[in-house]
Amino acid sequence: MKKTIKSATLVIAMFAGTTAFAQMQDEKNVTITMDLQPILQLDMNTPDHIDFVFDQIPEYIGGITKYGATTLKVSSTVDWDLWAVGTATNGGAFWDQQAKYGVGSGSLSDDQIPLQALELHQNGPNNHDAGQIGGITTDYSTAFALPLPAAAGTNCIYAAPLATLYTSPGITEKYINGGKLGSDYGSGGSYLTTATAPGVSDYYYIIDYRIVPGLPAIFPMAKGNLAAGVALDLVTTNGPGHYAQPGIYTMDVKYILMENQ
Amino acid sequence: MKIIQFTLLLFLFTNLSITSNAQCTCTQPYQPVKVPAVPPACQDLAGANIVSIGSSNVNFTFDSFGEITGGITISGSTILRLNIPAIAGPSTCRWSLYMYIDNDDDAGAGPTEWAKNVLYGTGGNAPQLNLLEVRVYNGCGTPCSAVYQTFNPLDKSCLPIISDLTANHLAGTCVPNVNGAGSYLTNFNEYTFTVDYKIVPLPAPPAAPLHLKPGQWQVKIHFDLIEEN
Repeated sequence: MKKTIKSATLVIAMFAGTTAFAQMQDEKNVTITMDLQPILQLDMNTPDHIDFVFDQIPEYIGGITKYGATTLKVSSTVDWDLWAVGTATNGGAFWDQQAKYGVGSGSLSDDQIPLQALELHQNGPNNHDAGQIGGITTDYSTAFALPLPAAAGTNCIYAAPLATLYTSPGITEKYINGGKLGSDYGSGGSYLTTATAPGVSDYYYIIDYRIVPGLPAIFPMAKGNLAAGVALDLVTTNGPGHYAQPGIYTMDVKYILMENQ
Repeated sequence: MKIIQFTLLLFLFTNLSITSNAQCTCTQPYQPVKVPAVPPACQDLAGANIVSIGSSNVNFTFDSFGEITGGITISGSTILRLNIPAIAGPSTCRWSLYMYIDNDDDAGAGPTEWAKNVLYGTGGNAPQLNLLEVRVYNGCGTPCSAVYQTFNPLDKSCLPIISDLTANHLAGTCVPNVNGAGSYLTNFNEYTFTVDYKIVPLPAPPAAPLHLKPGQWQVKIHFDLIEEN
């Protein structure tokens, strides 16, 4: 028995000598908190007032184009959509009339010029619009065409009343980038850190504007984006012989950058 | 009869030795050490402690794109000062200093993610534990003092600060990995550690974008002083 106990003790000592031990002595803790705020930045370089003055016949026929009038630069930490929307203070679908030229107006002159008379062109395509269907186009990247009825609506601005101004356009409407569906969006990133060559980057756009009054001034290019939609020129909407009343008209163009919904 | 008794005793002591051994390897989730069941070769480092200077809360707020892409660095927010009394026992006694990351076992967080306090949106991905970069250094140099390190993206993964288990580096030598008795009061450069933190949520290309989910996220860093022998 004594020999047994001695042997066991020897075994104990052997195990104790061959294992390592570690014992905690003290601990200090630091809590790291990271506040990641959603950042959507839209940098826009543009005059805050763009004038179209039609005082010559060729300008009525061919229209006036303002090239590169607006530059848009996007930075976002979240997925995003970008669109342009035309609106006016009257809350409706027409330009605001600021002044009327002439004492009397012809019986067929109209002071309600559709917001869609303004056309946009963006330098690069919308690369995230697979879900947009039923519209004439999904963006403003088509080049300005001859002002013929067949091209009406191709570049017309999306318009919305004040009540739904910040509601994203529908699935048949135009976006500069992204679309109505949750699967159509621009990825988080910035023009600062990605390729910024126009037409290449999702985060950098150059916008051209055009208005073609036509002769007579019926704004033949005005049309919604719905492929089977109705033209919005003054003859189609109001009847033969109608034309735009001379005067000063204004409208507001908003560029909206929103987190993808 | 004698043979049977001997075998039984052997079995019991084998079990005790296995359950008493645990160390942080820093390649796996941290295993909190346990007090050994048999007396160790070294006495306890009685009175050994860490004096932490600086706030126990470090806040990173990203509210501009420049900060998202350039990151935020907070230097010297945490300073650790050690007091290690003279160690009795064999000369193999030494100490180690480790840090490990902890997401508080948040029920909603995966094992690789930060714990969420509040969400500001639904899109994007939860930040991973290897997003936080940490640099620990002192006047005499720690083994990894020159660079920012990241934790393995796994809850309780750890990084060593002082961890030489094979040799004693005595106080006063001012070499990296000093791990003998001493104090910041008498050997400031060897027993004082400065901690810098850095987070870069959106690294520049060609690194892949992270698409982090907006919100307030949280982790803890534990700094452990451990007696080794």
